[in-house]
Amino acid sequence: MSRSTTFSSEESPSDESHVLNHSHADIVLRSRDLHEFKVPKVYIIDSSPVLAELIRSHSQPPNTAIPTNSVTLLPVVSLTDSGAILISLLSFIIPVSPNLPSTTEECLELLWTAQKYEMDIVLTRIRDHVARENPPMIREENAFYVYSLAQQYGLRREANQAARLTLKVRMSIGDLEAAGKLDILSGALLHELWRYHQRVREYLAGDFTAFMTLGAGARINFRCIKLSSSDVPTWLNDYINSIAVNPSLFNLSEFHMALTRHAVPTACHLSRTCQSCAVMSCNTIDTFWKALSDVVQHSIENVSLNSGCPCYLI
Amino acid sequence: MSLLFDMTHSQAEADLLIEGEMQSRQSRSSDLTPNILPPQMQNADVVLVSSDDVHFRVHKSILSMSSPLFQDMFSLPQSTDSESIDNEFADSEFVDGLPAVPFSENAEVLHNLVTLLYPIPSVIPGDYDKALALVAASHKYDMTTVQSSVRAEMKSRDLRPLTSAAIFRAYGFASAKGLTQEMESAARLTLDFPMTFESMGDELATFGGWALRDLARYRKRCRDGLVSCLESLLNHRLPPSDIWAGCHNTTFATIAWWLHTLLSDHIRKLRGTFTHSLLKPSSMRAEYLAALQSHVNQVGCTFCSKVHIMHGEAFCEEVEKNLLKALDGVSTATSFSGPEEI
Repeated sequence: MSRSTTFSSEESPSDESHVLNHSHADIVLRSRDLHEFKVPKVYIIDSSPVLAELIRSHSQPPNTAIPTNSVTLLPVVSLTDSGAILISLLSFIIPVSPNLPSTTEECLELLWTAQKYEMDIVLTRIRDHVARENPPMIREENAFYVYSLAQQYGLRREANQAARLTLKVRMSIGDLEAAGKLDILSGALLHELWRYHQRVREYLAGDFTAFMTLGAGARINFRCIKLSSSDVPTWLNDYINSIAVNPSLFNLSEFHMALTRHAVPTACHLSRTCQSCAVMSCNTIDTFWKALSDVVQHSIENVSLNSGCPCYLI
Repeated sequence: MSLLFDMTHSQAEADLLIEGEMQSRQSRSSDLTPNILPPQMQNADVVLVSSDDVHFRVHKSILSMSSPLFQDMFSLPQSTDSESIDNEFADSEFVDGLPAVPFSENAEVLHNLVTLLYPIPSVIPGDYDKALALVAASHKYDMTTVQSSVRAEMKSRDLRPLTSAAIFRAYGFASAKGLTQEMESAARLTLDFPMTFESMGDELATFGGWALRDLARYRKRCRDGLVSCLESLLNHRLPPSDIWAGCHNTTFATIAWWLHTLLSDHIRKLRGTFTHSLLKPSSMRAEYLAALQSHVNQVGCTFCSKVHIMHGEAFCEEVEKNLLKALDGVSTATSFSGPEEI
């Protein structure tokens, strides 16, 4: 017995009814919670080889008893997905207004469902819509959670995006425990994330070496009172090296803190005031920061999660 | 009793990552597996098939006596072509006309298990990981007597993981297998090592469910217990520290300053982070002696020298006892939520 379908989707009622009861429907998709969607199978077959095969298997041999809807007598294909996910998925397949689910969890489930049915084009379409979300679906505050879910769903792209955002958090057991992140991640997923952070740090260390000797780092201020062997201010050298150890230190606040510690006199070190760094122009800092950001970005983009991570739990 | 060679070797496919990890470590640390001679019991009526396809011909009655799980399994009406107690055994077949029961354990674990069921020389590995795998197998198949025997033997041999990696691995494995006793022992041993990504290394990958979170919680409780104990030792009005009130070189009303400094330093370090290795109760005696010696050498304190001669030994014992009590008092039940899947 099918249920009447009500969804908290944002799509217009006309679009919803179009998806649920298409005028040219020749097949019924039934969700695990017994919602039925009457759709033209050509859309489904074109979108998904997996569902195409499923529909074909329901159509052969021609004379055997095929489950049909008692009212419309259309063949029924039962799926393991929920009605809420299916209606959203169908909105990306049938020419109606696409309807993204409202929660991050459902969005990831939708992506997983599209991936499961090998709907490559639909998957791209969903990801395009997700990318236009404001606020973004994957943010700094939910990065660990999304990483965990995406890994469980086997969504590599989302897992990588989330993993990149976790770089803004100091990766230590103590900090993660204090932030409640150990409640989100299993040891296996955390281990994979830690390995990812390690690889990013290694990449950063390599890129920073070149940056400090050849890039903007080498040109920032030759008049500093304390230069390293490569003629870069020592405080800057130390700051950049600290990013290679802990990428979460890559932000302007930390940079200015490092500059302040060096340039502003303290009661203990009045004689070590560096007038040259203290009056460094905003332009110089902006130029330097942009160059450093490019290097960091380059390093991060070159590293991704291991493809062999055995984290597909679903 | 005859021993027959009946072995075929194929790549075992572990059912769980953790099990695969454990077994691969075992095969790395031992060359025994390919040479195992599986006991072949006369008049056997069932074949146990290890994950690496070694066959063990045994008796249903023996298995039934050792395990209610097998008792139930063999008391069920026999299917025509297979034995099965759950999905794990769903793919069972016949071997030489006998029903075959596939196991996810490798031949070495299964061999050790079988030797504990029959009146033949039992084989309990000397390697902690392997012994733990045997405990896990006996736990899984509800073989309480076997499990007790293995645990008793491990205790008598003082078999325990020694390195940081081995300890964290043992914790992860025991946690995943629901071996509460071993999990708690291993958790206690981890306190002597930093709890960092570096110290846990690849062993972290074997931590299933909330094992890592639970270990962190347990460690924090232990840390809090130690801090509380050390704070009580700072009280110059209460034993055992009251004997140190009166040092002439201590200007404020408290215990001797060198001891105060020693205890305060530990409190500060412990409060700073729980991820460093925690204070070992047994190390306090040496630290006490070093601090006292330094104090006496610097200021020639006769008060502290006398107190040490009269009561130093008893004080150290009391401190160590109190610190151990603080750790023992940490309720593991509230720290460990047990095996669960995320």
